[in-house]
Amino acid sequence: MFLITIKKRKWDELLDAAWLPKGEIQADPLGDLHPSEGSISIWWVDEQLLNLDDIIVALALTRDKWDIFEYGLFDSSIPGNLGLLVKETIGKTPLPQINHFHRDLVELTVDKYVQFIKGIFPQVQKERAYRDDIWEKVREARNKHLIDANLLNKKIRPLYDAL
Amino acid sequence: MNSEATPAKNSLISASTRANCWMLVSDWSSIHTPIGTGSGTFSPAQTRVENVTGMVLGYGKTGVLMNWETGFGDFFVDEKAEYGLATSPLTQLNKIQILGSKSNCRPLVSDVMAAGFSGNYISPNFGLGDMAFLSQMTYPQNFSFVSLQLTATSAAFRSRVASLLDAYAYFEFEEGIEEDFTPQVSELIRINALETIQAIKDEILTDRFDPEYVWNILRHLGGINDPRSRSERLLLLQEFLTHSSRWIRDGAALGLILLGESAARVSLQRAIDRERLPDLKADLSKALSYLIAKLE
Repeated sequence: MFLITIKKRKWDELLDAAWLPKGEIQADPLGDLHPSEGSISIWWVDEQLLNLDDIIVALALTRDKWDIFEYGLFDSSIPGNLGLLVKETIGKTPLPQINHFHRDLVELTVDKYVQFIKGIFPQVQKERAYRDDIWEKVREARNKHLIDANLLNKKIRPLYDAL
Repeated sequence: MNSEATPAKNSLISASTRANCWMLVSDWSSIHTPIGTGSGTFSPAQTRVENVTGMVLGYGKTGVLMNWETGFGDFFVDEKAEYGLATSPLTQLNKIQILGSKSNCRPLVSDVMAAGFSGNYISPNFGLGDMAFLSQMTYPQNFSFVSLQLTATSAAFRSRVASLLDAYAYFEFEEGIEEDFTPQVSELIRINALETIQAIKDEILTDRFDPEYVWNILRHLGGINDPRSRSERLLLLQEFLTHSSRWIRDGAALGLILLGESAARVSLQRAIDRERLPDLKADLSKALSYLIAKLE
């Protein structure tokens, strides 16, 4: 599976929106993934989700704060089926052992990007983790010595040290 | 209140020429007990000027009230040896209470005027003309307590809230990135929680803001660390659980779990029962489960 960070509400299925023709998708998800230089950051997640918590921690720890962490999971075969290119690139998080799970969806054109959104929208598994749960995962990652505290940003570091 | 209290040497009043008088200035909105005369309870407005630290640096200088529980900000002493609230945005509070006390003291109305309040004042007891009149009055030698109420219109304060909301209306809130918006809302709530929360509610209800922006506002409101305004924020967030926008309903739910009040459980359950959007219904259910777990 692949993980993308999302804002869940942008991916709602709007069953009661009179303006939205049946079977069509509102444009909101297009503005959610922020392609840059034709690429989107995604993370490879083990089918049994064994590395999921560590990836959530890795991404959360790149932020200044969090009350929620929202993400979507989609089948890793989708990009290939759509003819999209996935490139292995090393992530930049305070969890060095997790960074090799990072990928980029590259060479995206407008058409390919829209194709991608339409491809994942019907089946993306949308999730939201809450603050205390994330901190619990951070604690576990720390106990597994996955976190390099020196790589934490200065806003998170005091909170992390106080765990 | 003990009207016989003696001001500390370093108090505001001791910096003035009326060494035997003292006064209280407080944020009226923090006072839930009706004003009376003589002895009585004025909690939480009991904070006396002498309890304030770091308030007066000298005539014409501005000091900051660090420990004033009732939430006032700047104080100043001007060159005329008068004192009062500085003409900062912090003076745009909706109501100011001034209490003068002790025998042989005139009420300190002139001090208030010297503070240079801006805006319009409406008062059940006094208007500006009354203040001018009172400042000329000599009070009976044996009066024990005087309570003056100056009630500014809340327009100035509300305008400040609206300006802040407008300023960030097109700001791109990046998830998890610290911004200046939250501290500013917190500060307004610290100064005048009731007025701020009511103003935010009214501004949201104008429907001029993007629902995603309101989603952020409501989450921030829930997360603010201000125990005094918990019940007001709870009410506001509960109310927005019924809003027509899914973003706003969601933001209200997220705010409620950050607030962590057990009273929110019932309203969240009702919101779940009402919700027709499957995605949001699932999120509201998770929010309720999370809140319950958090409260246990």
